[in-house]
Amino acid sequence: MDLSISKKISTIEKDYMLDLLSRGTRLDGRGFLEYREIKIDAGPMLKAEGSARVCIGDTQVCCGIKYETGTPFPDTPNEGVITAMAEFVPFASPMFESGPPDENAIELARVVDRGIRHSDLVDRTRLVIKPGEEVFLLFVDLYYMMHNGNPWDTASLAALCALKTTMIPALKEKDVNGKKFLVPEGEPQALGIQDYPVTITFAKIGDYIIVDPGLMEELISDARISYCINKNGLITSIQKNGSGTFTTEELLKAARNARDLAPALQQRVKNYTRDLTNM
Amino acid sequence: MPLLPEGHPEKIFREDGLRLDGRKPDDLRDIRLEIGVLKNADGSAMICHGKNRIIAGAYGPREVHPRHLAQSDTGILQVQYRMSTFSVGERKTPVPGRREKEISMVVQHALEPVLFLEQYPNSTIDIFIQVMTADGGTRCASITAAALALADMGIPMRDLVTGVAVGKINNKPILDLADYEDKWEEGAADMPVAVMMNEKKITLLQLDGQVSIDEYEQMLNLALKGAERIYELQKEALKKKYTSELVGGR
Amino acid sequence: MSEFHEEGGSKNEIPEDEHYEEDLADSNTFDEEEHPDSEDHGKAPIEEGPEKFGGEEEGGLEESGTREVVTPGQVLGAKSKDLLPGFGTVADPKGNIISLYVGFLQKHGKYVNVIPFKGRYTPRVGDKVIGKIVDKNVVLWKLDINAPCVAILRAGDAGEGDRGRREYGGGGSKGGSPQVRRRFDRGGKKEDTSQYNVGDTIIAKVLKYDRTTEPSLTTVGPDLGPIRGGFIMDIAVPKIPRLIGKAGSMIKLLNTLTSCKLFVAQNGVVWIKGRKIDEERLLIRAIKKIENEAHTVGLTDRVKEFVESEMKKVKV
Repeated sequence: MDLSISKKISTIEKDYMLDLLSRGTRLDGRGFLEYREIKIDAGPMLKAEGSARVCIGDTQVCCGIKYETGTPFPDTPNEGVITAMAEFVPFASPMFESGPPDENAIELARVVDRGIRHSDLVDRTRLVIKPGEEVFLLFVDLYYMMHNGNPWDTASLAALCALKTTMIPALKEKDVNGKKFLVPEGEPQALGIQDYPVTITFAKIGDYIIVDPGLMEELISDARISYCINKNGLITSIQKNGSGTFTTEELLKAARNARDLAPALQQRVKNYTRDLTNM
Repeated sequence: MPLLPEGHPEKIFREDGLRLDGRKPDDLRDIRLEIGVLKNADGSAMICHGKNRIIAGAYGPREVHPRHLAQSDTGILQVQYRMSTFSVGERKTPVPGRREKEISMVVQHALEPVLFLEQYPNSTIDIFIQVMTADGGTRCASITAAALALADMGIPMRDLVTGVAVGKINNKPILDLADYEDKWEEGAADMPVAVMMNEKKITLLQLDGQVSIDEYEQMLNLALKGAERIYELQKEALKKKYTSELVGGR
Repeated sequence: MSEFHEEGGSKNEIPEDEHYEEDLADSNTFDEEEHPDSEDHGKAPIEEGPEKFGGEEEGGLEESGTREVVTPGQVLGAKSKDLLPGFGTVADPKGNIISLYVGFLQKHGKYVNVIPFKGRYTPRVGDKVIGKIVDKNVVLWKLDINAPCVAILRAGDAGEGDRGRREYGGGGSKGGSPQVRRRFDRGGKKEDTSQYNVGDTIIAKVLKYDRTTEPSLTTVGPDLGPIRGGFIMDIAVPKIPRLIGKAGSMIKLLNTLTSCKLFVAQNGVVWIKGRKIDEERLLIRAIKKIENEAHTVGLTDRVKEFVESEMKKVKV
């Protein structure tokens, strides 16, 4: 289902928000370049190799990391594989229906995926067990738990924090009863992340461009643009969504704003503490 | 090359006769319940039962989609039980499997008796259960949480519903099996139960294993005793949520 | 409070020999249980409201004793001629009175009531509701009124033209003398749906409702019709009485301290309109505070303190 039109916003609510924007402010009093409160819980999923729960305002995404083993891609025989998957849990919003991931969930997964792939986040050569034959397949599985706008930035932080907590064992080939198995050897080691590619999303409402849209803002927005910025201030992925348009000036301004906002988010990943402790 | 499958413990009881986690045969694992964990759901609850971490969110009464499922003389209850990929040791495929679909149905049948669905013709009450970590007895823990989510919604209910798993290992009846006890095969059985505590009416009952009628009776009684304790925790959790607002409200 | 329990009493008497499940299936009994204060039909919502929580001004809290929280299925006592099931309770086959909700236990004379903390809006005939138009066809509009299903407003039940030409709460009407309007009006009712659009917000009255069909609304009547400007927000239905206050005291307090007007509809939608955005914003926060602390003692004073101190910070 289309997240942006399945809930009807009344004219009153829309006019009120536009009026606020014309005065330089938003529904919850934030500035145009201000994020809502971010809370992180790292490692709550006890059977995952790595996990995190992240809230931006009342939006919450859970991420768990699991590994399997398998053959590498033919064009990268000495690299492990990392894939992202996203599911919108129906209890996240009265607008969500049950069913397989729709295009919004798929888009979310692919955007997170691209941000990870084109950064130095994980050294994929360390994920090799037997070059050309056996590598680690890391799954970054995202569950959208509470929908209140901007799942993209929330998911990106959740994936990063989950990968940061990930411990995987060294796997060695062993003969067990005549069959070959991969067996863990020694204690699991930290995967270690070397980059902090964070996604920063802007919504466009009329001529106003605001970061971290809340639910109502998302519903009245014409378009949005997400930039993924790595630790060196480079853009590692871009995604535009929605049927509105951006001028190049708007896009460049947003990119510069994203680059300026990134360090604060990256700092949160570097120094996460357990802000949420009830799980 | 496949990963070596997880091994089973050699013995299922310790030298001192206690279970591997130190419990006695009729001890429950630690349980923590929290009401109202999801901002948008009409009602919600989270259960931490042993290592299980399960969240239930409920919406309704609301319009039925797809329309053809609506019934003009009564409301319907729809339950969706799903396990997250990272909830178990070996990653579970995100595609819902037969086990999840069966559990969705038995959980629905376990909760329906306490509701007054005839009050909501053409409407549905939807419950979504997401297992974040699974460690044995998830369908029972899900029922315990789902009942709290329903109560949190503010719809009238005849009673809460309490889920508890009983079973036997090495032919000894035990309460609340952990995952590795579930997997034990010697003299084993696994019997999930759910009950409306006020009238002691059973709303869920399944058996995996082989039992004599006597063992069956023992296990049922053990289940009711365990459920009684969990019921008290459910009531406490509901009262705690609303009583905390009374003290100064800050 | 006394009207409340008397209503509850006569309509909730369940004949001893009837099985309780059947009682609840009987629409009359259950509906009346839900709406013991149906006498409030037609009263303007901002004047009075069902006094479910009892104004602390009149010591309502102390009167009912300790605020015990009960849970669904909890036994409240054995049914007898001195103890009868009231609102939110029912007698089970064994003759025990049990609670149907998580809520406050309340005793009034012979009746034991349970006031639920949460609940969706159940339409009642005569209620004034604020609804959002979500769909329309040639003959009717569909409105979202926070109820289990959408409500219908038929073209024939819509008021005579744009009420928004008059500001809610005062001001004269524009558009010609009464004689001129009468000449061009066809009795005040339009037969098509051109006057309101999807996205409009309307104050309407519930005309008809039974559980088997959608509620029917009307905008024929004083103070009904589309609203313009301001902001709308949702609050939980059981908290409405607290927001209104005893004899409208809480609303009056909010009106006096800020320049904002407030309309609280029975379906949990609140319309706020003020002269300044900061005051409107403050009011939104105050309403959320009231919603979160509805069951507490001394709320009126705390709200007064909160609003007064925040008003000082508001830019003039």
